[in-house]
Amino acid sequence: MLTGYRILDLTDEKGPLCSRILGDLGADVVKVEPPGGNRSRRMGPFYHDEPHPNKSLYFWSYNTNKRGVTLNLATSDGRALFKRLVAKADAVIESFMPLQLKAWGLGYHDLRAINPRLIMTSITPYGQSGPDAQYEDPDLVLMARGGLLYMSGETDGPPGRTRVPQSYNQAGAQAAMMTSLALYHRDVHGRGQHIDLSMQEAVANALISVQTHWDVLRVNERRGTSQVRGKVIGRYSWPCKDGYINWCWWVAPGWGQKNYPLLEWMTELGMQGDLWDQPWEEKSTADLKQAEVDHWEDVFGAFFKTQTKAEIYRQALKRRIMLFPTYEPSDVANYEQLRERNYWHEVEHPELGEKVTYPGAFVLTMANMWSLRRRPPLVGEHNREVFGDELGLTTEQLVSLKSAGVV
Amino acid sequence: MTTSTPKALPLAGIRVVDYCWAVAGPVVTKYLAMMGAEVIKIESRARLDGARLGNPFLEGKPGVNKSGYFATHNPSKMSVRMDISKPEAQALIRRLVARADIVSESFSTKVLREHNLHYEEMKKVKADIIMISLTMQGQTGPFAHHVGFGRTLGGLAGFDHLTGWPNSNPAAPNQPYTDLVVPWFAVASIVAALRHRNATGLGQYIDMSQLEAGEHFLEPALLDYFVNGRSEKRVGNRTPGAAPHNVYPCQGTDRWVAIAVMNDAMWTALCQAMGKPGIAIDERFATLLARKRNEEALDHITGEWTRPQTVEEVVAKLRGAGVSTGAVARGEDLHSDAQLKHRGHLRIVEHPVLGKPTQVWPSFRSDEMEPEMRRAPLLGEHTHHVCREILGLPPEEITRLEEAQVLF
Repeated sequence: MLTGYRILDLTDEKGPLCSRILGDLGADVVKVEPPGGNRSRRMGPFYHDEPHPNKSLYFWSYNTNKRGVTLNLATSDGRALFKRLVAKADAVIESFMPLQLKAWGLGYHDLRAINPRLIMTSITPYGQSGPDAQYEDPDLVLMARGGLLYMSGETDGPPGRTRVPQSYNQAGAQAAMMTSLALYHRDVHGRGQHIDLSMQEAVANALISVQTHWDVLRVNERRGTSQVRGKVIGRYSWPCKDGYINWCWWVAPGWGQKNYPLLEWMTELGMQGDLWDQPWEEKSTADLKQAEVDHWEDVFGAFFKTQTKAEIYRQALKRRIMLFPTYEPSDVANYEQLRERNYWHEVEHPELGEKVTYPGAFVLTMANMWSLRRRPPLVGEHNREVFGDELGLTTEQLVSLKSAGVV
Repeated sequence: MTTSTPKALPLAGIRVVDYCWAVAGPVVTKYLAMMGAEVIKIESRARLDGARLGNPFLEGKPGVNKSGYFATHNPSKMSVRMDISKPEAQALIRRLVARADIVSESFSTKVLREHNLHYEEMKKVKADIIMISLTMQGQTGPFAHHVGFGRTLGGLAGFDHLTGWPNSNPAAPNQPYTDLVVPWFAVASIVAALRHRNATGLGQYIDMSQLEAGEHFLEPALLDYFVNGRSEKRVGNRTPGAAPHNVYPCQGTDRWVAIAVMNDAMWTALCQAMGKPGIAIDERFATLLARKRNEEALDHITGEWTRPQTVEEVVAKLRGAGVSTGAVARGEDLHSDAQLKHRGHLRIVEHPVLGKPTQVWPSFRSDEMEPEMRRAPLLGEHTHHVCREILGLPPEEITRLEEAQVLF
């Protein structure tokens, strides 16, 4: 577990998942935002569609298990208080543009002088140096430059991204992994370090084989709902009666029989056509012609259109057909498997007088390493607790700092 | 870089017995290996890691040591051939696990139990062993035993439904995307388990569901449903706070440039770069709300300007003008991108069969933790080494086990 570590989280929308993951595993995370809250609180959707810094569902998603303080790092008092927090912290996670913290005298070398065991994880669009390091680009451009956007959307249309910004989450989750390793490294070897993470490169690390396809074959892998298999194209996504399902046929010795449970179901309903007469186990994908594949896909496609995704999934489970339905958020929220595993967690939001359902454990372990202990912080909610109780500032001092726009 | 001697890595001294196959599991153990752990991959001709048969192959010809796909996801590991369905192999595994810290596997739920190699058995030979299982949907629940793979699981998780264009098919990244979501959660969890073990002396069993980790990457859409009762749909490249915010066609086949106009200043700059300063103040486009209202017309105008130009020309003009922009990179573009080159995103790691393939570097750089990137192992390359050096088997016993197809 990561219990006992103190993490300071300075990230805006770029990578708040990092310290969320560390917090879920037990770390004590304090979110440090500018007065008024950072800009990720402006990202929708919003609770009851009311745009308000304390009601951003994007912010809620990635800031549970954190306490929140506000601090204006552009002021000398803000910086002095931040340094006092750093002295007692194990890690700082930040997503300012390169050189910003340094300009404030809060760069890694400045902070290391205060706390030599500190881990600092910097999440930036392109990394700390290089020709593009100073470009502050949003998710769309980072998804484009990291290669994931080209792989998203239909083959014959323009690339279209995933609605929830994946570059921010890829960067955040990869940063959590590296920060946990850096903390472990420090506990073993005694030294802190600066982790320089590039969001563009985090996106490129979410590609399975795009780089290697170009490397080995000089081929650009392409987006779509079908894939090149040998010399033919086979589809993955099939429209059904009320949506879509994902499934693919198999052809090869030892693999072709995976189609049979589906063929048996189709036969029971008289829709098998001539599919039993095809060389599923005799041929390999390399020997196929597009015309025969198109014919199979017409027969399979016509069958799927007669069934709902729920019925197809029910039959797939019963008959061991390797397919999944294409779920939308309402389906995921009501999915029996997640309910049976107690995946959803109700978290009290006292400021709203209600409980909110959140996605739960990303890992189940015997020692219950994962926990959801507190809702995301309101803007500056823990200023008194952290600056007053922990750092010993008096009420008068806090009023002064508030009046001066420091907290 | 000021030092030349390699520094100790965080997981030096940690030994992993690894049955992971396909992508998600092997990526987890790849990171453990690159961070200093000794990862012993258990493979067999009787049950080949499917990734060894995954495209691309050198010269397009399949072979167990010719897959670039496998090489990408298995560097820095050792490969031992053992047919775990054989009782003698199971006995060897027990001896190996007795000397290990972590066991990792990504089989479907029943496989290791069938071979008597599940957690309860491993705990008997190493009380504080940490064991992680990575599956589609976890070890329990009505759908736990339903087999599948990442490209189709993305549909169940919601990635397909929320990716692509509203009037077109659902279309998540055309690859097993969740396979490269779950590893980051898994490695952090393993590190937490190691720390827990070091502090308490207790090992544990870790049950990871690719679905349950993956949902966190879509969490705002799920909260939108729970809080507002809204089941979101895909919206292409649109976003509420910016316009234009899309990809636009360029010269060539399937070439696109991303342009994100995040504020009025960028809008004015775009209009000037397009040679159309007049439309900056055209009432159809002068404000964000106006641009959102007329976004289709705006996309059309922008696309007409980009279409006859190369991606590089558009990027150069807009970068210079201060507009957020970038190439929609294909595989080949990732190999030539100047910023990725600066970071050394792709580095040659020589391989006796593949020649000089490049390895994808992790997304971080640190002076203290340089990933240890050794080429992926040939099938069974380290069988003798592990039998001799770790298990202490004499040569004649190794030969006998090979003949008996235990080491197979």
